[in-house]
Amino acid sequence: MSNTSPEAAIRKLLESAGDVTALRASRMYPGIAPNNTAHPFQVYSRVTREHYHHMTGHSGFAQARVQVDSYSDNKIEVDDLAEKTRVYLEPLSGSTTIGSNSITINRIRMEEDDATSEPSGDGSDLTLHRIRQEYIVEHAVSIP
Amino acid sequence: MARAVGDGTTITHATTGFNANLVSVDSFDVTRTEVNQTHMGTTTVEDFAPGNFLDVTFTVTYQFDPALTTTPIDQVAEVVTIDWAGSGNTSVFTAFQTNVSMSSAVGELMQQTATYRATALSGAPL
Repeated sequence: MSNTSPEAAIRKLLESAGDVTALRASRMYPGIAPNNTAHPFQVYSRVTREHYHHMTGHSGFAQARVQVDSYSDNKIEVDDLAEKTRVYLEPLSGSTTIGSNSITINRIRMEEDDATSEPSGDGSDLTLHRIRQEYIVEHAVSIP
Repeated sequence: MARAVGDGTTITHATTGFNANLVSVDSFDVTRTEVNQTHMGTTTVEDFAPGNFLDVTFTVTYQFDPALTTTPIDQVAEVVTIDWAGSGNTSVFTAFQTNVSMSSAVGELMQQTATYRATALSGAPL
């Protein structure tokens, strides 16, 4: 049932988010973005995942904390990208399939976000703005 | 004596068949009555004898699944068996529920806590 990771599911879901891809195209990367990636772009990763058990086994339920970072050298643009991401993800639930694997998501809710700005690090005068969003992904997992 | 964690503990209901994912057994409380035999000739300390009656109550917490059989709060007393940590060592009572409380919160598994009172024992309580 649930072999797909929640963070991979988030990426898959956002591929269908027209408002999001209109801004960052397909520039969404696991962990770290490649050097010289065009702006804006997004990076995603799983921070933690909590599993729930009862006395005799797994409950079949888990909650993952998935981080989605939106980057741009344009502050207005990155705010827009992050907000469109949240608005798209939060109402979603149901089964998502990637290849032969799938995951059933009960709910996605954004737990917190923050905003930072720092030099882009590419030697230019650009400032790179980041919105970090942490989503709680409640989902089913296979019971061993 | 071997130590053990609580994992594997189960609770079964012989008549209603009520079953749910058990999270914990709490407040497993066995109290024996005491008979005060102190009299005018007693010296130093009061004199007590062990009574013949046990007062047994316990509280359990389940993960609540609304699709499961409803809790037996309105049923007659039935045989309730607790198998401690899957060891085969059991506590067997005739018992009924005296209280059920539910919790439902954002991001938390729904849980149900039920308190039981025993009206009869089968063997030692522990």
